[in-house]
Amino acid sequence: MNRSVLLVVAALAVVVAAVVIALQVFSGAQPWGMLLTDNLVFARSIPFTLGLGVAFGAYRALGREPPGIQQKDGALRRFAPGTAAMHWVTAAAVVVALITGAWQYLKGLLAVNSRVDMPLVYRIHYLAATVLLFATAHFVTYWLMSETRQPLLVPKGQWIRHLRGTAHELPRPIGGALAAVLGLDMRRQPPPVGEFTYYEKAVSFPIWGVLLVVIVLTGVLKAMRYIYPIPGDLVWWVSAVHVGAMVALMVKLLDHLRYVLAPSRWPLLVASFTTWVSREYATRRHPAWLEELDRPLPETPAAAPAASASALQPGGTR
Amino acid sequence: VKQLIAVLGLIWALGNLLVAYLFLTSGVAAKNVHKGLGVQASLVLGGILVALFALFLLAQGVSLARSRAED
Repeated sequence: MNRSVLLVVAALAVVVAAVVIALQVFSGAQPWGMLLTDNLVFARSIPFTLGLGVAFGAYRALGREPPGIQQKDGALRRFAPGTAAMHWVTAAAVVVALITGAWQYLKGLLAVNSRVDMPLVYRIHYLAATVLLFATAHFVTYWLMSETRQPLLVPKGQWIRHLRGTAHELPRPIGGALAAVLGLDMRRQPPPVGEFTYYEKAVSFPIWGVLLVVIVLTGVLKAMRYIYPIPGDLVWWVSAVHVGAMVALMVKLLDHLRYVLAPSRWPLLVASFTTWVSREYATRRHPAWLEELDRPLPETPAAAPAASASALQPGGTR
Repeated sequence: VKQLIAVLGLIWALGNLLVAYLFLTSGVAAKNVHKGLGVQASLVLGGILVALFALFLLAQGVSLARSRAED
């Protein structure tokens, strides 16, 4: 099946759903205020948002070129352009959702009047949540349908090596403490770093994944409570976990920014916009990635046509 | 650009420090005693964690702002 058909069908379903939802909202049949109307619009749109995300993820996965590390003018491609773009879409959604979510929570906690109209805060929160749902569904589908997830994961049987690499990458007191707790031998040379650092693979990516899944699932349940009868006790616990995940996401985002704003990792931050990182930087900081690139291809009939001057080795751009 | 990104990081860190302060003060405020020890402890713990990582980011932002342009 042409991959575009899937995307067009999903987009059409979203358009039809948007029209039907809008007709209901503007019919004047319900006496709801802005807040409840927004909640119901958001809840009804969730299946279509997720469907569009899945279709877009599948569209990208099915259209991928054979795995390879692209090169040009002494630079290596670290991210596929679509992945970099969706990363920033997700980042914007997370930041806006965190600000509006924290605003709602702090208003209740401090028992103060908000200077901003609260229904507007919720509306922006729902819009950010919609974008986050789309991006999450897209990434999950894209990674499940392509091999691009492999370099982001710790391979089977490699956890000790990754934890040792992580301990070496952390500041000495924290890394030393981790090594002592886990019984890691820090006298051995740190293993060479691949495309992604040990900290990213063993600590950062798993935490991002868990927190985003938790906040999305609890957010969806909270949004659905006016459409489906969800027991009050369950809503209370779901809300508590949602707030807990919000605080954990605040901490994780701070940690992520701390990590990517390190002067030594500036080229990686630039690469998240341009998708390219210099070969010289990769040689210095990610030698195992270069080894992967310089490793000869296996001589198989299937692999031969895939190898070209611009796409050389397993791995590929994410 | 590097300085601009560093400033944005610093602004985000300062905003989070404010949130951490509100968490901490709410966690020990008398008006929240009725919410139970669990809620209070969560607020204090959350506040401490957010403050700690905001300080890390603050330090990193300063370090980035002061780093050489050609790095």
